Amino acid sequence: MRVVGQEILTVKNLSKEYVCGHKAVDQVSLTVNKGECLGIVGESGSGKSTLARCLLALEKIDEGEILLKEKSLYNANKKSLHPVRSEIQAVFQNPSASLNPKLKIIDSLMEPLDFQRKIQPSFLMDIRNQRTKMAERLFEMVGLPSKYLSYYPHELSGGQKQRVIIARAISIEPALIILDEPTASLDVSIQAKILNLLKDLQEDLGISYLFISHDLAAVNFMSQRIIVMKQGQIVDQCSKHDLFSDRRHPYTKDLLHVFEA
Amino acid sequence: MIQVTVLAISDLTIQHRKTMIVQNIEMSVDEGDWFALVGESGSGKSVTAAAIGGLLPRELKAASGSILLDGKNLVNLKERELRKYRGTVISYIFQDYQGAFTPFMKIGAQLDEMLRTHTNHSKKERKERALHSLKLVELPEERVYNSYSFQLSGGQLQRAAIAMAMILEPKLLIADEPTTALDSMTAANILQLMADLKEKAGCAVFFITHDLRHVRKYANKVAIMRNGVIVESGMKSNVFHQPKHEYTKALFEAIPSLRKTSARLSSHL
Repeated sequence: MRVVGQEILTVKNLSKEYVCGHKAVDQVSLTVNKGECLGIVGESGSGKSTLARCLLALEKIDEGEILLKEKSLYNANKKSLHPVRSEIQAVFQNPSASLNPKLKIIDSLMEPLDFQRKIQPSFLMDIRNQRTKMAERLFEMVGLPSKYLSYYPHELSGGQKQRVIIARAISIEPALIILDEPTASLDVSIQAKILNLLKDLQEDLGISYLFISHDLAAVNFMSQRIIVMKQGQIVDQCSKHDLFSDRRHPYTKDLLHVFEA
Repeated sequence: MIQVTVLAISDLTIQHRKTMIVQNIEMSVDEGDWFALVGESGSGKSVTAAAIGGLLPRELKAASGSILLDGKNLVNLKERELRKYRGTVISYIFQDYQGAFTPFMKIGAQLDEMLRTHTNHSKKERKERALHSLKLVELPEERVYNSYSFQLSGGQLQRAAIAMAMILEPKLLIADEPTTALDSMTAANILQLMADLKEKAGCAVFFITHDLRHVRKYANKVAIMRNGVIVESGMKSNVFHQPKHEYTKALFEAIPSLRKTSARLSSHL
């Protein structure tokens, strides 16, 4: 059962400026509730991916606060980040870059579970000590045949690789998965399958998503609430049902126009 | 008005050893057309586009059929002959806009090289024409002329690539997924720009995409390709309003819609 309202991620007044003086993220505040998908839409350079990198603690932030399950990520050091890292996972645009070409799929897939022995995901509890069985179950959850476990990344298609990444992201049952353009490099039919899979998994596991994309139609399909970013700032936010309301920001209306043309 | 056929492909088959990559395809593109070839990865659409300009990789061969450009058959034409067509009669833009320019030369120098190769213009004329072509694609011409490719954004680079493709006023612009690597707003602007240039120059556009949304606004003819075969083709209005083939219908249904939101997307492909 989903508990609605419990805040998984809270971001307050987050700012990030790059060395060149470019303010990539400017005073951004948002929350993601348990079991919810929050969509962020914006053009290239709107700061949405920098925001994702800040939330993953891959970038230091200049100002503001990030709370993941009430624990602060604000410029935390590596050691104190360790327990937090298991609560947040990411799926990026290019699945090939997320898999080590020299490792068999099973070894890439199982890395989080191999190294974080203490984690007991609810759906793997009964077989936590049986590595191959866990891998097979994860593959079943994302709809891949288990024969691919012994393959190398180059033997899989883009859509199959993205399924492996998704299996790895859910494997430690994180509280939040950041999906940064997860289907941008895939064909429309494969995109449909991946988006459906992500929705199925969210309903089954109650994981929260932050879904980042320039594709308003995909964001609208996935999310309950939508944030529109432009030049590092949030210019508009609304629930999915209010997307066509007259009160929307002119920029949101421009975006809608592009997708309805 | 008499329609002048720019490109006529008939019964074209392309093979890799014994494997058919493209099978017996037919299509015809008239002056002023925006012809959209739609298909997924591996459908053979890019191979078809490459075949037109003789850009097939060495392992691939046109086994039968003809590609008539302005009435001249380009299949199996010698490389030396083909070079006279590429850039002047046919030109290309690709998804990978970064690959369109070498990072070692300024954009202006690369436009100049193109003009030097194909025209007898003086140095001054060449510079004027290069600047004019950049202005046509709505770029700050002086700055871009003096920039290296890595100093421009993705959208700017694709505009510069279009300027280079259009500078010699080709009859056919082949655009192979030109907006796939761009975000949706930039993509919409690039497509509008291509449409404006097409009107001004009176050329035809051969547009390749996997996303039917990009076809809706600009194309007048559509062909849907799957596994090397054209499964459906015709005027856009017919294909969009009354798709006949199951695959075409499935392609439409796989696209998330803004107005009609469903719990799951159709994925019968």
